[in-house]
Amino acid sequence: MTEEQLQLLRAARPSGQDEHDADVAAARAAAAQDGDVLAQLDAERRTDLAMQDALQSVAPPAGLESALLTAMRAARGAVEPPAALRESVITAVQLPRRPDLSRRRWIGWSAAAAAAVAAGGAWWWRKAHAFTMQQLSEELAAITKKGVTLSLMSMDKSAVVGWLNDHQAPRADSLPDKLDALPRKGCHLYDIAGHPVSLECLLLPGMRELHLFATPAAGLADAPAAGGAAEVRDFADRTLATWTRGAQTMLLFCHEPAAEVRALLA
Amino acid sequence: MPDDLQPALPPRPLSADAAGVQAWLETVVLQFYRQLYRYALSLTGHESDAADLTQQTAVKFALKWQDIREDAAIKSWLYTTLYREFLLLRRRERNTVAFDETLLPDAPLETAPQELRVDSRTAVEALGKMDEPHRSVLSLFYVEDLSYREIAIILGVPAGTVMSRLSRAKDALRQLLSPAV
Repeated sequence: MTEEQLQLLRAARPSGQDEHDADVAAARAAAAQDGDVLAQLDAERRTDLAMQDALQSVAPPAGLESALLTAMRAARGAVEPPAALRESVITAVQLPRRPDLSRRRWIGWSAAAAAAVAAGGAWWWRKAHAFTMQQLSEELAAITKKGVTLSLMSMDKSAVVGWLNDHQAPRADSLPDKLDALPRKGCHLYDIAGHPVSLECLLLPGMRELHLFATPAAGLADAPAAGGAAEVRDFADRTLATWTRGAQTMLLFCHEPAAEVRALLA
Repeated sequence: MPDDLQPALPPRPLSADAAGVQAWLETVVLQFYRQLYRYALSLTGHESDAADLTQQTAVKFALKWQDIREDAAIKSWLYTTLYREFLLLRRRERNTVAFDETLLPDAPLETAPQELRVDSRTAVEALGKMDEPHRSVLSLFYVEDLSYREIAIILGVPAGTVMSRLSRAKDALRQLLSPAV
């Protein structure tokens, strides 16, 4: 028998589904002429069946099924968000278009003026509707209890940071080293009453999730002082750490003990 | 599970029927997630990584299901997607134990012991000691009982490459299992 025929027989499924294939049948007939090869193939098939039994007996962990369904629903929810949220996210995502030279210049000026008015209006609206830390913490605690949405699922920090940057999401210039070193699970950009709030989901060993939210400090009536130490406390059955770096205020929610959170932020 | 034992997929709903789409997506995922998890576990050797890969695959399916033109291609799309996610994960980790296939270019078949017992942990660990190309081929071969042609489609390599990798992978596996039997 040829080397190709031997490879074909070794690639034939141990369940016997390929035995009706003409090439396999021909190779099998050729192998039948050589008792040693036949015995070796028979022994290999026993190994194949043993491996197949062993691997097919593995049961998925409890809870995986519901986790999959939750993640799928969250992902589809992120793709088709409510109209109000969709509008704000789309506004953030759209890139400036190349100017159309065939149009008159006044159209550009009008658009720029309208954009300035809109930006000013948004600034005024956010200022007038500034959240307190308590209000924002309650909103975010409710989100974490309900189950966060992840528009991007990735353990790659650079991918997460890239996604947040692409979506002009608020993010601290730097995070405490131990926190920053954790693998990511994904990220999302929320719009909470006109306030952009980014989420980075980080993972501690054992798949324990940390939810790190960031939002512009300017949108908060009582944001922690920039550069100050993080305040860690219990909040709504969770541990909450809050601090401000640069222009961004961070709120970190998790189920870990306060001491462990402080160690992460040290 | 062999194809002939796999229950048929329910008919695909209209895109506009959001609730119907969600129900259909969930039915498909629930039909395949056990095999996907086993495949992921055989690739990664770690339960948490396997669960993550399975979840990432399910989420991608929920987001990109409309890209799959024919229902017959859903199964291979799921496996291909999981495999790609695995490769991305591995690129970040780079902690596999390489298996040098040149060490076994023409390794002859040897007769294995008559009674072979392999538990699932031993099987997963043995696969984990192989390099990625051989592990991925053998995983699909054992976990899903796929033909070498189907494996070629999923992995995006020629069928002949799958056959030669299968041969080499089986030689390596025999050596890895020999202390255990």
